[in-house]
Amino acid sequence: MRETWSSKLGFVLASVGSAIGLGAMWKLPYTMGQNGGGAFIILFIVFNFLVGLPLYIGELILGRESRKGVVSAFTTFSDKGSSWSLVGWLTAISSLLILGWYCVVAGWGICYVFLSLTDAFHGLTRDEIGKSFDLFRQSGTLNMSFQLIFIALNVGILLKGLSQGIEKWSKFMTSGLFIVLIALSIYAMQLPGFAEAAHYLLYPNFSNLTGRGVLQALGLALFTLSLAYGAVLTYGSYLKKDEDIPKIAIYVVLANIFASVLIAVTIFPMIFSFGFAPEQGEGLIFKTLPFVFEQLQGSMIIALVFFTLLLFAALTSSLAMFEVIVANFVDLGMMSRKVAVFVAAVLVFILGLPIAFTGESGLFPAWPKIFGNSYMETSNLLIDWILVVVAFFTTIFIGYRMAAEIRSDGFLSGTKAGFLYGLWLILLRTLVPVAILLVMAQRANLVQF
Amino acid sequence: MTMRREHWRSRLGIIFATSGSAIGLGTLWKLPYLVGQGGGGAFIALYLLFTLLLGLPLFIAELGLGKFHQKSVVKIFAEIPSPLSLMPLFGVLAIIATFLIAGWYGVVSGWGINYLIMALTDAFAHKTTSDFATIFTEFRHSGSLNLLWQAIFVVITCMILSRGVRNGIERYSKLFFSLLFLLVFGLFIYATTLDGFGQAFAYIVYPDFAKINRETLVAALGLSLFTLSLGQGIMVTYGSYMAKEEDIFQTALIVSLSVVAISILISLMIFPMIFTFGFPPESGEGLLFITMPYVTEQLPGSMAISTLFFTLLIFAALTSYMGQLEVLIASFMEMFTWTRHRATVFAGLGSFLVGIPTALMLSDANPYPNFQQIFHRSFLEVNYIVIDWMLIVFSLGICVAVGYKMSRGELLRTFNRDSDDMAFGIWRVLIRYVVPFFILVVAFSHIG
Repeated sequence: MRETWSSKLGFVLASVGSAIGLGAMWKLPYTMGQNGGGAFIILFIVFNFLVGLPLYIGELILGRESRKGVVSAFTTFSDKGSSWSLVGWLTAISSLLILGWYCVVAGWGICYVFLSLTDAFHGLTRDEIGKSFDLFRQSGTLNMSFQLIFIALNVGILLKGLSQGIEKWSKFMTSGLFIVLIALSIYAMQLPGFAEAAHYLLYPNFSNLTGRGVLQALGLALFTLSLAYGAVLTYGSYLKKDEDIPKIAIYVVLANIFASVLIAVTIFPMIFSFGFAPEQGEGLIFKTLPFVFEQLQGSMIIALVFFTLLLFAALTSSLAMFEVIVANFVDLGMMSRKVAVFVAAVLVFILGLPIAFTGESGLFPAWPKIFGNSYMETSNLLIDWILVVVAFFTTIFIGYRMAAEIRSDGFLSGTKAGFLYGLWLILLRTLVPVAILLVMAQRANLVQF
Repeated sequence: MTMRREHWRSRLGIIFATSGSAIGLGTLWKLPYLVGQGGGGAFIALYLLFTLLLGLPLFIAELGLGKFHQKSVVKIFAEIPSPLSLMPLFGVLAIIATFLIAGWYGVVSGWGINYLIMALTDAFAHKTTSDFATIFTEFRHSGSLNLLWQAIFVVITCMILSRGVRNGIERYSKLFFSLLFLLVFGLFIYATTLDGFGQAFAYIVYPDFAKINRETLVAALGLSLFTLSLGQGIMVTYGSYMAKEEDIFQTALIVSLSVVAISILISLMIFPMIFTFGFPPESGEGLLFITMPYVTEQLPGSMAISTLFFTLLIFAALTSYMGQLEVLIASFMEMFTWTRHRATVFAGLGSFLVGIPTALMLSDANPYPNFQQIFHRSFLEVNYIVIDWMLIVFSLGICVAVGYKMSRGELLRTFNRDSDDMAFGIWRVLIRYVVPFFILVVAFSHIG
């Protein structure tokens, strides 16, 4: 018998935890601010419901009705020997590629938990903190050690199985994340930079909202929900038959929007209070923020709490991606769960090594000269492509290829919102694929604004 | 081992697998140049003529040899009786040649992956031709990157091959080759809208008889032999997966004509692009990895065009590489009674190892640092020359094995022909006398 989630709350918290990861921490707030604040957020919310939610429901149905991992889910509902299994493999590969860099960066988070704990930021300037991060990045062995610790955390939880492992720990960490986030945001409201941050983030500045921004909101709505990584599908495959899919999908989407906005409202008041310009990525999290925390009252606690939060966010997301790979191997009958966990861990470790060992003495010193980007940036751009392709074909598969009775059965069983089925199907068949094609066209520079 | 030999699921599968194997890197980087330099339409006419006189009969012979014996290349030649037991050597030769070809093929196809990722991540943007030349040099000097892509390419191919003939080769050849055809056709349509199309059309199609001389004749001869990926044992291996009722004559005719047609289409897709920006016709690495990235970057829809082009390149390379490794796999399975799985691992690993010198040729870790001084040619060039000779010798072996060592009755049964069939009669004359003669002509032209 396939394991199932022991409670609806457990599923929702694990799914929200999987959706809120490093991207939500270091990229989303910046993107919101740069693209016109409130106007962008409104669009983001609209797209979440019109594009993200339909596909989210679709992936859950595909997972639950097949009760299989990504590749087997596609083969269950297609002809023998058809190429749809390739979409499943591509899904598994995208999770694998993401985990590669994810575990290294989450490892930095562990390092920063230790740094906060030992009060290592004390009395340092922004530049000095920046410099010690750069030094840290040059030490491949340190990076690899923290990467290994993070992978080991995942392995430990995954080996416990679904309800005793992933569900139990995600419940704990995601609720912890929300509590900490709310506490930090209340703290942030009292800071002098709050008004400026609120204006930057929330005031709808339509002149900053370009066509490009609209498509960015669309892309964000798709990918902050962790669609197309296989996580939704895989978590859905553990849902009970009578679970109300449309309802829980709406819970997840709402919680995700709430958390995304809350993170932005927490981070920007802090950096604005000390006159920093809005930024994103490694610089924001590992250089600017530690300095900002150092200036605040109760600096050590805040830094410690923040990096623990970062670690929780990363861990709940990485667990889901690991589960995609593990469930896939297990459901294909290739290996037992235990072996699959170790195989996934080794693959992820190897994929992360070029990021852990970077720079002149790293694994691929010529990379930036050839690709114009670092290995990590290149792999992220590549992952973005895989994700849109997977999202597109998954949509087509659920909307057009799955047998109608399985699709409607998945949507209708256990729900009172059956009257929405027609609307959902229309959105999934028309708006969602068109929206994804638009995102693709924009990324391929085929449409310019 | 008494396992039943796998057979192709459908005729279409055979056509796609053999055409896919025939159209590879050579079709992209060498053929358009040869056609253009050799006199365009006049050369195409010659190429077509030789394909019918030389390539097609040999193609039929290779498929027939495999189909009749239902064994791998090594086993087939090992069992043909001959004075001084020379015949078995041909089987061994095929294995060595395949290793050498697969070695560099894996590396160069790996470059394709590198450039596909560059295209996808928009790394081509705002670069000049000299930037692309620098990038390519930089890339060739990075041993770790060359090995990385080579490894990925080999692993992908082996994953497909380990699934067997029907679920592996046939299924994926069908998928990749149809995508390849769509891409070629799509990019060709796109190329017709470019400024350089008129010039390219004149260059590739307009017959210039003044350019026809002894050299171009030999070039057309060689091309007709090797565009069908003959002389490597691939078609023998693919033929050995054919069931009794298969009509080789018809299949081979369809494949060789479509390969010629697609090759011309590919030429008419590449040259308009480079002529639009005033580049002279060229061939080889420089065309694929320096000029094409630059040119596609300048065109409207740059990122999409360059991505599609390198996707096409990888599909072309994959279907060809699959054929090469399958020669090894089929032989290993029979020689050592290995499972397909194990044979695949060893074939992949072996070709990866053979490819390492090519991958590291320009890096600090070059295993043969003095090679250039000793041979006065690069490792790759020497590799090409050795391979060329092996293909010639093996082709002659095929002519003997089919033309002289198989009886008329055996041949008629293999091809499902009546004894008064005219096509069969013509073919038998060709394979016994004409084909070996032309192969010798090519060989002597190499000597000078």
